[in-house]
Amino acid sequence: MILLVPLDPVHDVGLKMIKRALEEAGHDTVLLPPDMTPSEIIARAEKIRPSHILVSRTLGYQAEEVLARLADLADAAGIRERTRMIIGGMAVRPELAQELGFDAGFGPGTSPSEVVAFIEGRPAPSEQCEEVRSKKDLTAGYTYRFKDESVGKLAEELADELLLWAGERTSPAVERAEIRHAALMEGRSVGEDYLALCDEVVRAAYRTGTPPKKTRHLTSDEQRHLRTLGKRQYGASRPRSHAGLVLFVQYGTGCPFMDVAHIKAAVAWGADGVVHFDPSWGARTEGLLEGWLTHEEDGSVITPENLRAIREGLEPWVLWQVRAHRGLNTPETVVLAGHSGADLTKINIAYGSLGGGTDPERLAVDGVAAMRWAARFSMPFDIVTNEELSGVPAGKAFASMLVMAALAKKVGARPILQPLFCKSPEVMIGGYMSDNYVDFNAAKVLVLRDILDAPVWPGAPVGFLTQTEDRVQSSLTTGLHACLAGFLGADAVTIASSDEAYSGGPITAAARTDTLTAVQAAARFFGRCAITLTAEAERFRRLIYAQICDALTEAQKAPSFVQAIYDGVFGSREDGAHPGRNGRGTVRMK
Amino acid sequence: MTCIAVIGTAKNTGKTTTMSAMMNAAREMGVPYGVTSMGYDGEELDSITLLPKPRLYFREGAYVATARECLDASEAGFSNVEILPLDSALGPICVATVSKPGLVIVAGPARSRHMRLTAAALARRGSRLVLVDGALGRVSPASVVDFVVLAQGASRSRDVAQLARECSAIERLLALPVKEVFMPGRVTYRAAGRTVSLGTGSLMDEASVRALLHRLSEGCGQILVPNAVTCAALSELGTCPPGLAQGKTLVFADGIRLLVGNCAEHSWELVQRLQTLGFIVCVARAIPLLAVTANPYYPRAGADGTYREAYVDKQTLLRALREAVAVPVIDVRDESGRVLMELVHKQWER
Repeated sequence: MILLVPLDPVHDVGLKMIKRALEEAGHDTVLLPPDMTPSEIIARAEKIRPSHILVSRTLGYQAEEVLARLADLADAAGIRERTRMIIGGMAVRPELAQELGFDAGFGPGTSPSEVVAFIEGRPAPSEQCEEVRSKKDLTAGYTYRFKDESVGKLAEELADELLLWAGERTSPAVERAEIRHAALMEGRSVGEDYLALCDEVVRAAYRTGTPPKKTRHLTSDEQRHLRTLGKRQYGASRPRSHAGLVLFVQYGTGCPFMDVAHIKAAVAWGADGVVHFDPSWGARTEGLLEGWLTHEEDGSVITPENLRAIREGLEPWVLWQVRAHRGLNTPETVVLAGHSGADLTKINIAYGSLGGGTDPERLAVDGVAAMRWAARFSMPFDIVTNEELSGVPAGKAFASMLVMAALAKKVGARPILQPLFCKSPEVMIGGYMSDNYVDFNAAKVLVLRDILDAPVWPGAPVGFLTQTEDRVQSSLTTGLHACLAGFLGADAVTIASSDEAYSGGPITAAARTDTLTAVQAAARFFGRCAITLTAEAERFRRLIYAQICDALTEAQKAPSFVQAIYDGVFGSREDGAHPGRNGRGTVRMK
Repeated sequence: MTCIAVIGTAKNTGKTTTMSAMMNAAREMGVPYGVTSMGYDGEELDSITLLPKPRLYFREGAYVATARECLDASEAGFSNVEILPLDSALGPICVATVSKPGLVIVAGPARSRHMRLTAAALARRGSRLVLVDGALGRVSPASVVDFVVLAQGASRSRDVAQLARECSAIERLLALPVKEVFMPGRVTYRAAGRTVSLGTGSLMDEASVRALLHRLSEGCGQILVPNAVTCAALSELGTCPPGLAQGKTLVFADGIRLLVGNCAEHSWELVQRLQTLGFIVCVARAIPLLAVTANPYYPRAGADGTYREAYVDKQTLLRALREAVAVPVIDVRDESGRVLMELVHKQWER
């Protein structure tokens, strides 16, 4: 027998839902009228000897006193040895239930089946999920077969040529990656041979112990607090309902402690994965630092110690991506990510060259080496196409992405296609989103799905240039873009915080939870509904496909893939893409 | 082992501050001690007022009983963690030794029997003194302790005279004469040479009392009430004809049972009425009040809905409470730990 007690005369809907669920599960229930006093309730409990008393109540100052009195009276009456007391309500948390003297507390978002499971002594349905909650392999089930044979042939030929070309060359980053790997395997710091391949600022940091400007070492006290924070487990406090999508958020506050705090907040709000952002100067500097380093500005410094500390702060099921895609430390970053236990990385030669500021020749050598390392660590990586934000048409960006995918497959790596969901310059100039934000983004996924059997992970983050400084608007548009990814059968999605573009300073944890909440609310709203695209989507699909074919055909005419990048085949100066200059002249023949 | 509960009449009356003071004093005096709570100590801010709450800081070597989740989330380090077969809303209760000092979130058992087992586990660890922090106005788990300290404060009421009257009532209810009898599981009385039990261990409402009074005869001498008794039941007992009440002994399990419900003043008035009728009101087990700590603080709600720290006049409060009770009344912030530990030592010397 289960006694249901609506202490709140108005808000007893939840209790009635639970009553129905309990009765359907074969339990006898008695629902008391509202507004009974604690002694009347316990008197009834003495008579009917229930196994459980379920109390629902919204909380205010006085309500706590009434609930505490009820628990106290039940204990004094000696009924708690046979009767467990449960409290539920909008403000209830387990900590509050504990303070009030109850055996369990259920807060917002609790389903009747969770309460039934608790009463029956079974793991809650959400706990069951949590137990089996494991890292999802975004690449599982994909064959990487080119469904479009003509595009596949072009991409593979370009990949073959690039592999041969890169095989004859090396760079300081390629050599540093080898040295770093050996050092990590032996659990030691890198030596002078490494420093000889670094920029002066990095050399000085190793030799004098003085970290670069705007960074400092964490004190031993701070390291201790960071470890303590990392061990704390908050679990997932929110039900996850984003339609099978794996949901990624970005972090990179500069400070590893704040990173772990933000990660824990994001995970508690339903994030499945997190993406590490490093400072932009990290991409322009030869060599990676060591030690527990905090950075005054955006971007968290990649060091073995920082990555390990962040790793320790991750719940076991959280996917962790450390980006390596754009700079002068690409292969070494993959090595560090692999040794630190990262699940994913990010590599794209064309984007890093056209939108990331690195010399195409240099990044081609480094990118191929990085892909080989990713394959060695069995670490899938996404091929991001953020050069669209510079103005590169989606089709051109996709052409180089498909060459990268073919290349990755050849070295045994597992790539993930990352189209942008954004209102890019191409879209604005072409008026492709004059009616809606759906058709053009959908066309991108459709065209990629037609060409290659590979996972798709829109990002990064979705909704670029559709968000404003209004946090409600930003959250809403983020939620809708994420749902669009779900409608299109994407495997994952990366979302921004609600103040990402307009924060003017550090991003707050609250802004991260804004968008996570928005995604869940939007996913809950749409459920399993489908969307209908307009005829424009098909026009965009054909446009993007033609751009891909044109770019690949053009690239084949160039002396090499790398030269094709310099020549603007995958994004020209007119488009807004400029081949980077960092690391120019550092590639040498083996 | 001596077990002391710090109980309060409401939130923010100074329970945790009193606990901290006693923990510090016990450590200074070299008394091995263990700590648990009948609720949850660990919030940085009050959930309603959003004002800061005191936290329990543990030194190395102290013992603690808290829920497993709380060990993981605490700042202190622990060794020899033993999981007790006792559940709480935050997972099983564990007993541990503090190996690295720091703040600890303390969430202990909410049931009396579990509190007894937890205190015993802390004693097995080596605690000579076990301190139990109360929660809100809850007191029932204190029915297994040896002494209580009452934390009274302006958070309960800004009316100092009322606070004093309430303290006095609590002191008197905890000082009822002791009649050492075996307590059965149900309300029991003897009539015509045989023992009669009601179907309940408590006197919860008028109906249960009427059932008792209906069956009572003049020959019946002693009525045992092992579990709870409410004000409604005490009030109904007061309708007993004086002839029937005269000379009958009413034995409650302990004084704490008369405090459950958080209406001590009313309970004491009703007990006095029973005494006037001729009942001899006793308890089976003494749980003496050791001292009262006074806290002038209260959270004041502003017009904008936020709360701010506020205080009643401390001297007025101390004077009023001291006039009202016989036990020492201590300023919660002023050497309260040392004074309380001296009181504990006096008990040990007896």
